[in-house]
Amino acid sequence: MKYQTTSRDYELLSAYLDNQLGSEDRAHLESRLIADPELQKEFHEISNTRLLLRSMPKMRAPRNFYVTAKDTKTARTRGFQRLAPAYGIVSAIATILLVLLIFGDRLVTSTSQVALAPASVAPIESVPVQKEIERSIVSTSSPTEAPPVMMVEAPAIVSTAPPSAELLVGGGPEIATPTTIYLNALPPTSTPEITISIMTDQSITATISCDGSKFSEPYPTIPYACPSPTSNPSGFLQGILPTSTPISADSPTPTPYSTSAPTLTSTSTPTTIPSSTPTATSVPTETPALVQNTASESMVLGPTLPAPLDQVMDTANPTLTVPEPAETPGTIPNFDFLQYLVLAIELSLAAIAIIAGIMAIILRIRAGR
Amino acid sequence: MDEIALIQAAKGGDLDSFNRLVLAYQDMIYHHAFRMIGEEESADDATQTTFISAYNHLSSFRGGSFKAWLLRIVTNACYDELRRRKRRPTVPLEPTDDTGEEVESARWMVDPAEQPEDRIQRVELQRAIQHCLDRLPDEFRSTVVMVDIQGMDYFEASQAIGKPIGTIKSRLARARSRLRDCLNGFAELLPSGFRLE
Repeated sequence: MKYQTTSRDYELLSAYLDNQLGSEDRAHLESRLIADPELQKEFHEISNTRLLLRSMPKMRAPRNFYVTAKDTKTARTRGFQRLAPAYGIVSAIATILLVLLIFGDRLVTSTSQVALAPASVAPIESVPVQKEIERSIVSTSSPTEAPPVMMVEAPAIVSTAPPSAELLVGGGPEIATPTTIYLNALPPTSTPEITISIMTDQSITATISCDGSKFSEPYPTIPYACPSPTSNPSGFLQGILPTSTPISADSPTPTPYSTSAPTLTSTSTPTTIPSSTPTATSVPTETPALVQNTASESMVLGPTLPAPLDQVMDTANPTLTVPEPAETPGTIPNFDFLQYLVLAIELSLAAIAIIAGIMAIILRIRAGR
Repeated sequence: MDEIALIQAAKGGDLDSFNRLVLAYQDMIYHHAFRMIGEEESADDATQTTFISAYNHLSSFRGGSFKAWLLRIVTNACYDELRRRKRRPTVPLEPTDDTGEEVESARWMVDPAEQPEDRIQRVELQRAIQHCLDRLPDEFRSTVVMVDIQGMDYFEASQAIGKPIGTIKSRLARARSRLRDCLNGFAELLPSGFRLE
């Protein structure tokens, strides 16, 4: 039977040649060599190969390889030049990340511009709004207070408002902040026992009528702002955004309104709640209105404007509350901040890509010389 | 001055002490580089690179066999050179004259004491062996050069290559087997006593 030499046999033969086998392995291999002529032939060939290799003449160095101080400096320079591939890789990675970031940023911006805006509106301003409302309601300032500077007559803007404008709650952040203004404009004559509540559901479209005929309806308790036809029809609550058009310095926001706003008295409290038709009887006829002219819109803010239909009086709740929307988490950061952050990262990646690429090119050129 | 004292002096920045070590080891290093690469100029570059690198990194030498440490450096330098040559166009192993013709016998093979026929046969055999060495994988070649050509034992080779002794044994056995198969193709060049069947 012909025995096939395995790699293990070659390893044993090689170690046996170099006297690297233990006594047990050596005895076993020697007995096999005696019994197996094929293995003996292999051993002979491997031994001759080893002899041939050992017969190779020793090479002598063609010169002396002395090391000089100049050689050591050159070696350090070459070591730095070996970083050229690393710079190239860094540049390539930074470029790829930059491209991905740019496309990802554009994709996210295009898809979430409408969806993100409402989420960034209500949670930010809900608490301050409530505090201001409470403060204004509790406040029983003197009715002799001077009216704000910006108080003008309301009818001027009523004519510019659409008869029945549908205002979407939420939308772009570029609208002014009328809500804050009108909430401060609560008449100081309002008494704590009057319960005011804004039922705001941002998940639905709040239909707010700015029709002049609605002004006659006895719902004088909660004023609101009617946007002009040129304003963003997405609703007044979106104006809460802090990044929106700033209010003019002479805004009467912190100032309690004068008693010339004859809107809310104890007798004008609505009797039924919640109803789509207000039941208050007192109708303000001549009331100063707060007009705010911004670059994009003209707002009339005054206590005499009728409340939206979905605003109800809640006697059980003595505060004016703007409930948070149920489906908008309050942890979404400011969209503009994210944009600035992305822009900063993009600029950093671009700088890294350019600098690393230039370094790689310079080192390559130096290495080629 | 012994080797350890020279190494310590070289670690302190004494370049003359290090150059005395260079004189002691340059033939061995050059021989190893030439057998690994198979070409004179590249072996020269690898040898010079080895000593410069050894001087710059002498602080990392923690004792033990300085010869094995140098062989490890030159082996890595040869690996780098071989990788570079694989990426770039091949360089002829044989030197050429001014007309571009291949020189039959390189300068290092010339032995004036030999007869022309004997010299030619010996040179051809050495070329055949070098050819078979060049066909080995780099790891096998470094092992067989250290053990069979440089005469190192397994432990020294293990230190120089940085692999366990078992790996050295395995690589050496496979390298010898492949060399045997390769040299069988040059049977007419082999001496009668070394004739492989």
